[in-house]
Amino acid sequence: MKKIVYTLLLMLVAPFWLMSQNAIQEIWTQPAAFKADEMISVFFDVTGTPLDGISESEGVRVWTWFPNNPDENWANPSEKTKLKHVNGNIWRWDLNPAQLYNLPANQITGIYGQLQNYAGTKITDAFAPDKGNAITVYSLSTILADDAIIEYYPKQFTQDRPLSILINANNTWSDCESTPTKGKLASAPDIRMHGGVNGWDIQVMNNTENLAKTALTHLGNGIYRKDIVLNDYFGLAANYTVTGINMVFADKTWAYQGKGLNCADFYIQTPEKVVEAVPTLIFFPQKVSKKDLLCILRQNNESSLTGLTYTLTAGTLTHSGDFEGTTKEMIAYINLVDLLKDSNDVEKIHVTIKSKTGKIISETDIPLVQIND
Amino acid sequence: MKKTSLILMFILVMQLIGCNKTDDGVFTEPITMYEKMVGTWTISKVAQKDLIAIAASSKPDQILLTNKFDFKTFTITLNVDEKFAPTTFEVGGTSPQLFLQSGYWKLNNPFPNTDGKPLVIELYSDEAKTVLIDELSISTVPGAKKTLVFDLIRESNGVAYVDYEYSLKAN
Repeated sequence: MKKIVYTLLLMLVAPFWLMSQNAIQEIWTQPAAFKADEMISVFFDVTGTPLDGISESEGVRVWTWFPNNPDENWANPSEKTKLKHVNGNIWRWDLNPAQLYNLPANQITGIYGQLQNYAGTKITDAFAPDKGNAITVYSLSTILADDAIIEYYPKQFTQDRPLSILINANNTWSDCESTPTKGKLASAPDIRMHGGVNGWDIQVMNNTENLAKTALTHLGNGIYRKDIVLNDYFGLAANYTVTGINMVFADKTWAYQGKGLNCADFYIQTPEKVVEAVPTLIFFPQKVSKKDLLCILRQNNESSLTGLTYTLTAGTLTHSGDFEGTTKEMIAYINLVDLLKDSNDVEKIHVTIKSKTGKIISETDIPLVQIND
Repeated sequence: MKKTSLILMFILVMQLIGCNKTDDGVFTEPITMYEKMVGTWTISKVAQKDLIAIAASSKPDQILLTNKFDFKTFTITLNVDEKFAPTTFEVGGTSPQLFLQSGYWKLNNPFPNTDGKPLVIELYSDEAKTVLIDELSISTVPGAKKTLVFDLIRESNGVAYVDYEYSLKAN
């Protein structure tokens, strides 16, 4: 019965979710490439959603429906679906998918759901395939292939988010100084990364000092995974740009080595950065009098931006309104003729533009030109 | 002799006939622009043009406002007397009052300009047409197609900076 009620409730509010623009800004997992039967952390950035700035007491939880719904309490969620506050708008969900969903690991390919406050009154857009942001379980099929040696995930990795590097120790090359042999690394007692960035410019060497951080995780069948966040792992300065990662694998004694094809060092090139267009604010026309119509355009808005408001002050007069449009272009249409018809002495207007969440986007004075009679 | 007398009589008769008054038809006043402009015009398009942006070839230089600010409701009625002389005008609707809303009007020239300069609708607050309030520069003159396009151009320090272009159709 309870299930039916929640399903009906879901159907009732679903259209409103679809219409809303409450997309979760960013989702990432630690490790980046994970198996369905290990502990993982999923991080959510709720900036720009109804949960933006939410307090820990109000709480954020996951309402998940795929592969099933393990917590059908719409309000008053159980601990397993509650998120922990990391900082700012970042919230973390710790789970072992197979345990949470009570399913064999091979039956879990992805996780879909949405975020909401404990009370179920503030809801984000879904993370699901149709939104392009479902949480997917990494498939080992690529790295398990006959000739596969190295893989990494995600392909569009960045320096400040988790990156998983996977090697197939059955296919790496050892004894490169004498007679190269394939797959010897799979017999090593442990496997570690001897790594560097930008042509070994900055390194974390495989030596006794770094034993605590160089080890790879064995996923079974000779597949090993190294989970790093480049900036943290290599201790990079804030303005340091990684162009590529250099690696060689070995056990801690270097008795077993793992190199690439033709005994080459491994190299992963940093993906090209997708440059987002910079938001542009335009006051139209460039000159304006109190007998004119003023249009304020903001183009190429941040994808997380759900809307803009403006407040115009002129002397003692204050007027507020909303922008229209989409993230591509939002426009506010302001009739200064009507607004300022009684403001004879006003020589300028002050315009404050805020996001729907209250963040100040712009604050500026606009002089009013005198028109020729 | 008889022949001579006949010729003289013929000339005399012809002269008498030739003294009839010539019929030049009824005099009519020339057709002025007022005949084409009289009546009520409703909006089909409104654009705001940033003349400084246009001069600098920067974008955006134009924003369509047809569906904004209630411009859809805009009408202007231009009245003439029985002799097609311009009398009063009135703006209808709830769009922004960018120029005089009612009063008296005339054109700066009742005929199309031959020097390429646009005709201008002059809006006056007084019947004597001595107090000129606003000018609307006509860019499309009504003809076979009943369309009228005029521009309200604002200037500051002698420099035109914005143009509100009203495209209208006969009601």
